[in-house]
Amino acid sequence: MIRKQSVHDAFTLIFSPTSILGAWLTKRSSSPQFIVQQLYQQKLNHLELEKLTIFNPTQIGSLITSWYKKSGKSMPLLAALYGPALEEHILLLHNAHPNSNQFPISHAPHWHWEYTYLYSVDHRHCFYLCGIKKSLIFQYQLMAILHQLPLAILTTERMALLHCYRFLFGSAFRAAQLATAMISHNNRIENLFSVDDLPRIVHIPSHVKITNQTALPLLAACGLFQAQG
Amino acid sequence: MNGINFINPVPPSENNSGRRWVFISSLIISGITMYILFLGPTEGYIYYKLIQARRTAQNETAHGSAIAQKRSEKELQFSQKQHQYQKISNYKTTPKNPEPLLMSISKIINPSNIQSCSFTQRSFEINCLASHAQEAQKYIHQLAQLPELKEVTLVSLYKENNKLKTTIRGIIDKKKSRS
Repeated sequence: MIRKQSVHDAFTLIFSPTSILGAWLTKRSSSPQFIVQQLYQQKLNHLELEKLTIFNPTQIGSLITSWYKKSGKSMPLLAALYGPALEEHILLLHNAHPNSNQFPISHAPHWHWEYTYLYSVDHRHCFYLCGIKKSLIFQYQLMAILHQLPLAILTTERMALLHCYRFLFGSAFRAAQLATAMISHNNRIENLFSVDDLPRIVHIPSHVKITNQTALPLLAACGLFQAQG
Repeated sequence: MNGINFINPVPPSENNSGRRWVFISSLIISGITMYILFLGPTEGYIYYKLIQARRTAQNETAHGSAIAQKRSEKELQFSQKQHQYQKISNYKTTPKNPEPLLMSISKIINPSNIQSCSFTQRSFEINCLASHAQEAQKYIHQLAQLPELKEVTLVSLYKENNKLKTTIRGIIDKKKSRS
């Protein structure tokens, strides 16, 4: 009996104030690895995305649209943000199910906050908290609407890396193991990965060139794909 | 560890169902609009032609003339009846109408006892039955009280079948008769 394998595609974007990375990823049901179909990177030297604000929507939008249309397919657009415009914290709380009042945040109405549980240690619970201005979220949504891009996910790069870390361990993932790794790396999520992790997760064809600067964003792109479900 | 997403996108399945809904609704609406625009006036034109044909047939055939004749006869009958009603209502209000006098007489003499009551231009004669002479006298006395009547006299009084047959005559005063 021949099983028909399903193929899923997604276009991932990693925004930072200095560069944009775009990756067309494919995942086949027969293989645990992601496949990088195309990888694009553009350095931003003229403050186009300073503090993650889209100061040049025409250039940013046309860049993303040209990358997206080169694939010739309709697939969801997954985006992650990295930069000083985000407020990110790793907090230890005594409450396993905290409400928004228990977090040390400003509660200003123009800020949007989200949090997720990471692990528990010594009767305290660790949470990843991130905040972003609502106007920034709106800017990215408007850009997606203007260029008719199917934006499905907008999150932080660190959240995407956490998803990638979980995917790396698969069914063997445990919160205690994450706790050990995070504590040993001073809760720096970027340091959870090593050089060998990239080829384990993603298959890179020969025509795609990877540098040291693109390795971590590519891992985040795989995490975004995994977050889509 | 739950994922964080700053946006709430519409799932692709809902997107597709929305697209299908828009397409089918547009198809239905455009179909109905085309029907109204092209077939509606056609039906209206056929209806107009039929009405015209009916009118022409009514005017040209005997049916139309029969209807017109019937209508005119109805109107004539109605006007004649109106004229007759008018005559009757006019007569009721004229001084020649004997109804008020008859009503007054019937209040004095029980109509079941009145055998006949005749009027001429100036005189009247009443034939009635009385149970006894005093009753006949009472009739005469009360009739004399009426302003329209004068010189009320008892003409005859004779017994018939245990009743007194009374004949009363008098003169009708035209000037005092009620109209």
